[in-house]
Amino acid sequence: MGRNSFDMAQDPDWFAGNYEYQVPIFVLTHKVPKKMPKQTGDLTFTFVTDGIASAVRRAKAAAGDKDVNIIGAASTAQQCLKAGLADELHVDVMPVLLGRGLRIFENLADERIQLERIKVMELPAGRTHLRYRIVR
Amino acid sequence: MRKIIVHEFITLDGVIQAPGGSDEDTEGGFAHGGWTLPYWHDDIGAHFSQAMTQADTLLLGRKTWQIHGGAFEPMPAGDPFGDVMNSIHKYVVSTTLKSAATWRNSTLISSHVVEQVRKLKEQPGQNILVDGSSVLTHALAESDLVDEYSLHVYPLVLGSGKRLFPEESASI
Repeated sequence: MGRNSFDMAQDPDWFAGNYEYQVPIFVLTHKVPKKMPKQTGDLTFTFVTDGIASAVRRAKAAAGDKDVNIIGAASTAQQCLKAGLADELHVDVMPVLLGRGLRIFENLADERIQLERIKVMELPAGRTHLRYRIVR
Repeated sequence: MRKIIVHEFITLDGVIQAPGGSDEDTEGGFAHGGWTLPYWHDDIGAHFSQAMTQADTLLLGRKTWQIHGGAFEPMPAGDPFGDVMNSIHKYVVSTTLKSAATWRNSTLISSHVVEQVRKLKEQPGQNILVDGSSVLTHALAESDLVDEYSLHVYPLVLGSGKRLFPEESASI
């Protein structure tokens, strides 16, 4: 999880028991918060300050056989794509053109990323869910 | 009123530059030209042929018009797609061209583009198709003249190149 996503909760203690993922959470950040947020047996926090590769490595170790979800808007997803750390890309496309704002596919190296489509789902209200495998 | 339909080959990151060939458009140092080629499938041609049956006009930017014209104008009669492309009426938008004579059935729009396109839409007829033409599609979108986007999304992220939906554009 990126720091911006973590900060979206006004009260970091809110995550424990309320957040949709009650799992170990690794927060990619430059600064560790002074106060450790509330944790439970399922949901724990680890603040990682030494970069995306380290965060992904530690999350994978914690996940064991299960998947690691990257939660975060632009920056964390971009760093993952750029560093070739993600295996799949899942996107929900909303039927609107905003014209400005953070974009997921920015700040990447000028290098082609080859994908393979796994799934397309037409969802209510004009949403389209797309799943791609990242080909290496 | 007639519809303006923008047809594009597009990557997942929104790039529409030079889908069909490495030298098609290298502006900005774009080195990924020809990114649709490994995916060619007859269904893609069939889709365009289908779209063309409901259209009677192409509206193109200068560069796309020149690329298409260079490819289709010399084709001998008898090529099904070539015949369609050569016989359909084309409007090319350009402030630098002096004439649209190098590709048959073409008309030059060199000023008051939005006004002229609006008039074109009000005339009776079938759909007006746009393809490629990144500068023109941006202008059409800004003036709320695009009725539909028909996008072939390729499983690629290129990281650079001209985009269909540029930054700092209107929300739609």
